[in-house]
Amino acid sequence: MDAVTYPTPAVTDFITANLIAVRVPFDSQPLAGKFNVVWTPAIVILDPQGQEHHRAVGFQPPEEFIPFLSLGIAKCHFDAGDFSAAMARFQTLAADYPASAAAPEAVFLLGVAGYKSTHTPRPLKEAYERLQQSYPGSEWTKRAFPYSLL
Amino acid sequence: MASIAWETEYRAALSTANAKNQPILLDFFNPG
Repeated sequence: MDAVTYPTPAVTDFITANLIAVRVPFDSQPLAGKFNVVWTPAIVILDPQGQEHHRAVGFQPPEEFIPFLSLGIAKCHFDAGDFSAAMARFQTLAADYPASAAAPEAVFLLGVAGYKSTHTPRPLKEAYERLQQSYPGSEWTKRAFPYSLL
Repeated sequence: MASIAWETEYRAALSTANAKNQPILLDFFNPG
């Protein structure tokens, strides 16, 4: 991460603009125990109150890291019930990084957030159709399959 | 070239995150 991903200007700019960045050694206690860290790099996205919403273990290249961070930020909004902010993040992620590993989950959660916002099933069905078209082999497409029946 | 302004104290990062209402990137790394 130090050799490739963090020095990438787009990554540096994204983190500076969107996140409070903190690094601690993997054996730093009690923090490592609190977050159950067993391997490095372990990267955890927390809301401003310190609650975990997203994590990854292992190296991530720059083209995957920004969408990973974006998904984590969106999930902070989603879990807080701020579906409008979450949907904006999910949409941007899926549009800007459609080939990333984070994109199918963003499309899935975009549908769920849309449902939560409107209380109509249409966003769920649209999410499934988009997943089926763009990510037919994704686990998120399988998870969304019941929405095809709505 | 700009670089990431890493905080090294979790409590300080949490306080800043609260004040700015921004999420936190917490990186557990191996210093080698």
